[in-house]
Amino acid sequence: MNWRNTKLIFKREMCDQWRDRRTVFTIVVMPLILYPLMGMALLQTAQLMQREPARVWLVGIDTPADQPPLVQGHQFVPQYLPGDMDEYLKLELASVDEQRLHPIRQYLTAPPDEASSGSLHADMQSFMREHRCDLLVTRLPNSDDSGTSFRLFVNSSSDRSSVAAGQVTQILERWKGDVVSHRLRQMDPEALTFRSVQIATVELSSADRRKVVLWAKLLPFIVLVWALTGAFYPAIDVCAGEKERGTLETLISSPARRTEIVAGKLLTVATFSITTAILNLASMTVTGFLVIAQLARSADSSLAVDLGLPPLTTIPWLIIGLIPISALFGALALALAAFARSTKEGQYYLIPMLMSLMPLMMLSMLPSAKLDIGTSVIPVTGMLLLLRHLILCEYGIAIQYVGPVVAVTLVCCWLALRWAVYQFNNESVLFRSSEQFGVGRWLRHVVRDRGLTPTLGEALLCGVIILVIKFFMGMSGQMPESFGAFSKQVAITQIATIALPAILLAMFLTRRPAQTLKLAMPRFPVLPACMLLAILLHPAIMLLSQLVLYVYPPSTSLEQVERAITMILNSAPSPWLIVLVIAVIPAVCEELAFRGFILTGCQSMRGKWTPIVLSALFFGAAHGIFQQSILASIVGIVLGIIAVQTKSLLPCIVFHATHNALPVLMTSLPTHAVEDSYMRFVLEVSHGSVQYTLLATIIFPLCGAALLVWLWKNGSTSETSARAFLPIPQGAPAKS
Amino acid sequence: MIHVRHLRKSYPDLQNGQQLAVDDISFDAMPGEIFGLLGPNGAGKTTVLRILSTVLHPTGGTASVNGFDVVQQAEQVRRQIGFVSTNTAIYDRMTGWEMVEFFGLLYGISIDVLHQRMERLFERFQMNSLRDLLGSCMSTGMKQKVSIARAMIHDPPVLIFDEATSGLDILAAREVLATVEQLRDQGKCILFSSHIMSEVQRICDRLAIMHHGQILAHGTLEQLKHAFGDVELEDLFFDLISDRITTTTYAANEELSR
Repeated sequence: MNWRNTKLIFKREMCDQWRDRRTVFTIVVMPLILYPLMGMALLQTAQLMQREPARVWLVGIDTPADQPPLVQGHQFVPQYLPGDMDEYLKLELASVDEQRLHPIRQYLTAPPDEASSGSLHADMQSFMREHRCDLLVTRLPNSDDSGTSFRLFVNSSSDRSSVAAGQVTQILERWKGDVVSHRLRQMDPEALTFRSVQIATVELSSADRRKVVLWAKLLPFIVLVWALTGAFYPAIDVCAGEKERGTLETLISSPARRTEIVAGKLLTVATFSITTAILNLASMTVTGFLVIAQLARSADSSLAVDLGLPPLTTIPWLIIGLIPISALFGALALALAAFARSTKEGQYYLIPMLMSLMPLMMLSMLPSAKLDIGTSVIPVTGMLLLLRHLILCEYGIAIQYVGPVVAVTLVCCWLALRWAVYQFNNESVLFRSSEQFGVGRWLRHVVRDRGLTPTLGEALLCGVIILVIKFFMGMSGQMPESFGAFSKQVAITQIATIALPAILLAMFLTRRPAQTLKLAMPRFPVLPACMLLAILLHPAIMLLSQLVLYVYPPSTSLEQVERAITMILNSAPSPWLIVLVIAVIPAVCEELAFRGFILTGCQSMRGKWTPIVLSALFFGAAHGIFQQSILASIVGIVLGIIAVQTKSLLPCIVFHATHNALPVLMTSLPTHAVEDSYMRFVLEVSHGSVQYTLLATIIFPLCGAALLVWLWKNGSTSETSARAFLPIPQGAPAKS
Repeated sequence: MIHVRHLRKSYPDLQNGQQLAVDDISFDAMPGEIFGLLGPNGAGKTTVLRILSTVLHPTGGTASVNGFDVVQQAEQVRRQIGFVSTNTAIYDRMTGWEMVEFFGLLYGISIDVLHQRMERLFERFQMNSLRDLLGSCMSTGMKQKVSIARAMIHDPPVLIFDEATSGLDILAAREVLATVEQLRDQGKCILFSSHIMSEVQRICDRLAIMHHGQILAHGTLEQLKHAFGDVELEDLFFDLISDRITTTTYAANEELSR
């Protein structure tokens, strides 16, 4: 073997791959961006997936004096609780004699044999449903009077009930261990053979029901995974494959419009996606059924898991759910595949697509996943959870959320379709020729051919950079202990992660950084108008914030963080310092990035609204906490309108700073100052905090809306009348 | 029929920044004539033809086909043209008949009229053996025949042939050229791009010589020869593109424009 040739071939292949920018992107850039973004998305959605605590009823649980206590107050004794389980188990203590337990008393006190027969299931289940109890634990003396036995009434068809049963069993086992060591310490000779604490589980749900629940959870997931893979390969063939075979140009020079071409291709891809999913489902079910039957007949029947066949209601619901989801996957796959130059390159894009969609599917498989208003608006996840309820014939729950789920899925479909059509209208996508790629060459190109203001791609890059840096900074940051440390942390985070990337990118990627960052003086009345606008809109935003918190209640950990921050802020020497730290600094830094670089870059798109919404979404995403992100996106839209109309960053900074400062100033107002002055028409003291009066909540936003309309009409400054802070370099060649 | 005025097209290029593929070109082509675009590879011929077939958007200038603007009225323009290029391949998994029928239906032709036309076309181009042959089983010449039939199925007033004979053997190439001449005789306006001198010399009524995105000279063959001192087309072409006679070019162009 000639090593020289091997080395030569190795060098050539490496050079070949390195010059292909798709390979460089997939191998080097994607992992750097994808995982932090996925991490952020996960943290955001984790806010939605708040585990609702399981309600555990402990009936007759008092421990005898000779045994260590199991329950303290309304919690299990902390030493038996593994991790942070106390958050997830909400105890309700009751004694057997209580009136409310009357309907089920006989089952609680009866010996096991009797208890597990008869109408136990129905009565216990209806009792638990009525009292929203997930797990019921009773303690009975053993029949031989030698100890006690715990009986756990569990409904395994509910995730919360079975998870709670597992946790409580764990706690009881630990307690039992403690009882044994307690006895050993007392030199009790029976301790080693101690069997008098017994833990038994009484299953309330029928085996059939458990099978249906399992199918309802499993099938939509499997079907959607198949739908995704089924969409991708035909999409590559009808886009990249056509490019490769040279028939795409034939097709686009025919009278068919691009929208029609995309729609036709989408129908093909969606049909394949649906067919793949259904055929796989059918084949898998039949094969699985036969294999299980065969195993059951064989000698080693322990291998056989009796799953039975899925209920018949599954099929129509799965097909109905598959149609919009396949359309969504199809449109996404088409848009991605249109970008690929060849089928080989198309395969590269499968991994990022899978990686971004799989978490949405996995989310629905979490034990804590539950269809509510929060999860119903997550694309794909909402549909999976809705399908689960439909398969279980729980139409009452399904009907409540069918609106948001269908609306979100359709909106996503529409957006994905628009993206695919955009790709088909973009000649640089359709006629991409292979080009020699080199990082140095590319950087030189970026700086040499920079435009006056950033492109859409550069704006998105800035947004992604900010999100990724913020993610890593957020992960490494610790909660500061004093106001000084807090201020330093806020200032560093704001400047380093938000303002600096925007300023640097504006300097290196554009010929007019000042115009990019909208550093221009607006007409005079605009500034006070924006301050007034922030004040007028604030009651509406506060109301909205309450609504968001009602729909998406904050988690315990979030509440802890909020409490810690409030304590730090309370220790500040002056409210004006707080205003500086949480209003002025963020206003300047965030506006430079979001309404400066990102919005200006997005404005290279047509229309006013798409850039405004895009920049607002980045602004929202940068806030990290889901509830804040929703509000920030809404405020971001108002800020975007101001920026687009006034072509200046100053009014945005004024609005932003005022908006952030108002809550601080409101809390620092002494109660008597509110009650004894004209402010009482606007503010009132309720539960110890200063809030807006009903009058202000109604009238202010109306005036705010009117002011916003005025700004829309009169805030507009022509390019020449907006006085730039910094001189705009003359004679800079325009990017054509 | 075809009017092109100050047409420009630029691409971003990693190496050299913005690259002008078409640099301010103007020409007209009339019905009943074959207008040739002659130029070496990379001269910008395909880009011009792609703009005329509305597949690409121009960066500047205007172009119209049969009175329709290529940017504003792209759909109408596509109905006026038949586009045959090395890049407009045929579907591998469709037979010759299905392929032509599919495009005919896209043009909105009723099925009866379409089938009548297809019968005539298949007869005329001796394509009946290709009716049930899949694209993947056809030779390059067969594929080109199907492509031409596909481009003519809606009987367009303008036909664009971009390097239509490239890759064909001499017999197939002659057949294509004969077809193009027949179409001219039927009064069609034909744009014919090629880098093969003899083809252009044989069939084009007027021609433009393109290099680096510009038209260096255009006129009838006789006008060109006369303006550049009675040289052969091949010498003229070589002189023009090799930057040796820039001054002569300008002088000759002056004369041509007079």
